[in-house]
Amino acid sequence: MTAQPAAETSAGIGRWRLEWLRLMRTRRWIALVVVFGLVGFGDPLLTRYLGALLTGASNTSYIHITVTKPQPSDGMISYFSNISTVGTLVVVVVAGLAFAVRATPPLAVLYLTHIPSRAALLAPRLATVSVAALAACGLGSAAATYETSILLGTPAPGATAAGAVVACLGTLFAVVVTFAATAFVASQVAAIAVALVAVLVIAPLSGLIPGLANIGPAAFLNLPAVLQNAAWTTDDWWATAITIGLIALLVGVGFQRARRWEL
Amino acid sequence: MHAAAVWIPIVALAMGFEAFCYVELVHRPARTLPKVVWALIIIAQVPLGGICYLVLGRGEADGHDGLQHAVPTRPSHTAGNAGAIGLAPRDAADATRGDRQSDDPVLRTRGLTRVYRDGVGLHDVDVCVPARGVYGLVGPNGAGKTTLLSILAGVRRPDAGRIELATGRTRVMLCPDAPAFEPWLTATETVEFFRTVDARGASATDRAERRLATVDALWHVGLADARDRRVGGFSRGMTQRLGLAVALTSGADVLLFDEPTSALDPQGRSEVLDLINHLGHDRAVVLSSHILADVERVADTVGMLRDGRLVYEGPMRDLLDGNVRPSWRIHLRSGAEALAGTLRDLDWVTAVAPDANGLRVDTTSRYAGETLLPAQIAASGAELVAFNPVGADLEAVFLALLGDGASAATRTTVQPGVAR
Repeated sequence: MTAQPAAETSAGIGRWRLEWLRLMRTRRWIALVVVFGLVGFGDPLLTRYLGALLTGASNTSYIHITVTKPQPSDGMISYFSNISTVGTLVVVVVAGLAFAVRATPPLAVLYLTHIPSRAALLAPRLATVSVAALAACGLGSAAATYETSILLGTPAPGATAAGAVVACLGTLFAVVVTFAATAFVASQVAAIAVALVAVLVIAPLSGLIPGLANIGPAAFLNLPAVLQNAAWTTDDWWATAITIGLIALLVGVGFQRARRWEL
Repeated sequence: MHAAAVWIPIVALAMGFEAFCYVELVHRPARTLPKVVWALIIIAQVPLGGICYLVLGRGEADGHDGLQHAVPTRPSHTAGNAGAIGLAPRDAADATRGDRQSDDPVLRTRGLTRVYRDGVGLHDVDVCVPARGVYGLVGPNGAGKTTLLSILAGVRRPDAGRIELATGRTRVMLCPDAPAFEPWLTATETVEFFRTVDARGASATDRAERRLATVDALWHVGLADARDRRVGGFSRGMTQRLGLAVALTSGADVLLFDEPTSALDPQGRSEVLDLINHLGHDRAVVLSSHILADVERVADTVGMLRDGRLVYEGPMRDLLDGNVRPSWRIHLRSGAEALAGTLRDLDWVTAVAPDANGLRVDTTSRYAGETLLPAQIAASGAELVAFNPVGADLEAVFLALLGDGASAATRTTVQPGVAR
């Protein structure tokens, strides 16, 4: 009896396929899809029945709650607001688990001694996680638009599309912040914590800095919700440009730092 | 109509996710918390409970992945030789170790220094690794072996000194003592990935040959039956064997092994040492181990580290031959005690110790042992069965060189070889 050649049972594995398998076999894609999907489907629903819920909850003679009829923009605002927190949380965790190469030194040794450069090792990880996060965000935006159209009426197409694009860029910002964090911090947990603090605390607080309030990352991260009731302004262009610049900078810093990794 | 359109996607998504989480929970081991706790968390907080389980609590199943295959025997296309994975033929492996050793170094360090905060590390280390052969790196814990290997592999930087490599940086591979792999890849996929990761633009024929070599490598390390299992379910010994399979197929010119047999049973250790011995025929293998018998068995050259300094480097045979003490093992049927008493009073005898079937006697010179000692045995009336010189082993030399009682002066007078 002779062995059945492996050639018939396994396809070759390159760096890009490895990252695809990481996303699929670890089921991390499910976490992304479920969170963005449920927020997309759930938030317009919650907005639609929020008045009824509050009225039912305050069933007393001395408290009367009056809720105005929700508009289509309210459904989208609710979605964009929630994914900037819950969505960011999941994206950062998924990205942190993929980027923290040095968290397992024996495995990192094999990667670092086999793959010609650190960039060749990290680029597929960064690209795969970015695409997955963008796809999840796009899927969630589509779900929110669908649910809002049924429950609250059709949202403004321009504002919805702009909000979705900006929300996707915001998700990408969270991914690259995590990428940069893992370039400096070896531990998965520590890198995720640093990235979460950076995206959920430091970035919003940067809006308190005079001059950055309307054009910094804080303004950009709020932009998807703001755009549902306001027109695009010059400051929004600045906020977008600065955030894109920060994304490029963080990617560059991450790759540069990775060149100096030691185990 | 609206109600159905609103609720169906949400309920389907949520229930599908919950069902998926519970299926995973049933079929896989749980990490961090017991399964029943995860079951409660999943249902209590939809969907974050399930997400927490997937990220933190889901273990790797110790099962087969994909199609099951017939239990493989040794691949027929390589029976009789191991050329497909770069191993030398068995006959060549049985040749003397000295014959294979190359004088041309593939790797040389000059004044390599790496000092950590507490002062330990490497200090001015010059090693010279031949292009072919096994280089044994020995030393007590904390001597700097792992630091040296890490620097040689390029995953740690020296504070001073330089490394001269006669091959490309990616042709140097370090196999750690407890290798780790992606738990969601199968053994075949793992070997395949590291085998092909830097082989860009390979032809279809090349790719097919590589896959065959993957089967070979897994067979050689005893993982043929487990080739389609995910690595997450492997024991430590199996993982160590997988690391060897990766080394076998890597095509590296310099293989650095850090304690490669530490998790293996005696039979596995023997097989792995045979593999390392084979590998040394056409490439440089640096074997770091605290099991001196392993190093002595396969190494052509030995380097000894102590406190971050290289105290000896040279051919293994020279080290052993140069440090053979004039010592003799005497197998006696009777008269051992009387003979021992007599020998202890003689000035050319330095030590007498009881041995399994007689005595072990150290003399001041080889001449004294070969001429005076037999005469003394005959004179004592003891019944002699056998009389043999005792060869030096690496452990004895190691203790002599690096033992706590040995002075620096003693350590630096070892000859032949290059004492530091």
